[in-house]
Amino acid sequence: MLVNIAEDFSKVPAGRYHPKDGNRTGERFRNEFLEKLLRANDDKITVNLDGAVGYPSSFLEEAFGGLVRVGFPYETLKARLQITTTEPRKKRYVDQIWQYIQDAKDTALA
Amino acid sequence: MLETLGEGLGIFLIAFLGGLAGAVAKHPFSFLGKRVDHKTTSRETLERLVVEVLEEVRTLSVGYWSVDECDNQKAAGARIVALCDILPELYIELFEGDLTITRDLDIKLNRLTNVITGGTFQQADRKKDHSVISEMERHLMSLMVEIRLQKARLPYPWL
Repeated sequence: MLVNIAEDFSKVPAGRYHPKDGNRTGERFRNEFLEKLLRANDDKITVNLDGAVGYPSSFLEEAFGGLVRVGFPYETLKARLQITTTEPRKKRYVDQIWQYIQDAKDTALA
Repeated sequence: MLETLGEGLGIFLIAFLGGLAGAVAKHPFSFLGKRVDHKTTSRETLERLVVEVLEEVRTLSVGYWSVDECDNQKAAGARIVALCDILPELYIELFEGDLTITRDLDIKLNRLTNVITGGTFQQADRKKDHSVISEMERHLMSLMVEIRLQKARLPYPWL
């Protein structure tokens, strides 16, 4: 399953919590796409970052780090979630997303 | 008479060949010189653009984190995100995609964006926070210094 954030959700993702921070938030993306697809079956999910004007850290942390907080184990995410981009300038977000997932895991364990 | 003619022809030939050799040799050196100038200018332009973008990020961030979340600062928040997204394009071009350099810069940029656009960034209940400005300054300077150092270490632009 492939999700392109810019095409399927918003070209300008922003904010953390839904609905108080707006309609393009990390929480909404997580609820309506990531969680939904992860719970639907055991397929791998590819999230493509191409096309957006940029990703604020608060959005990425809530969308991806939040997956650990709502109960998805780190190992499951590592096995089923793939983050991709064809834009060289967006490659840094891939590391950032995995760092947020790792940090959320470490916080949950602490 | 024939001997004089032979000598004249010899001198002519030597002069002609010397001139030809000079003309042939001059072309690639002049081409190389132009190429070096072009690359040097291009590097300087890219470095200047990187610095300009970082200065703009600094100004916007100071304004953004000096007040509580409000409509006036929403545009600044959006600009910060867009500028931080564009920045790697400039340093990837400057360092011609050298992965060792650009990976280090990505890590530093991620630290910077994590501070500026993380936490309560774009949250309705965000409060002004001067500690973000201090942290931003530290990471922004670290990134700027690294870019300038790496640029200074680039090999002479022969090729």
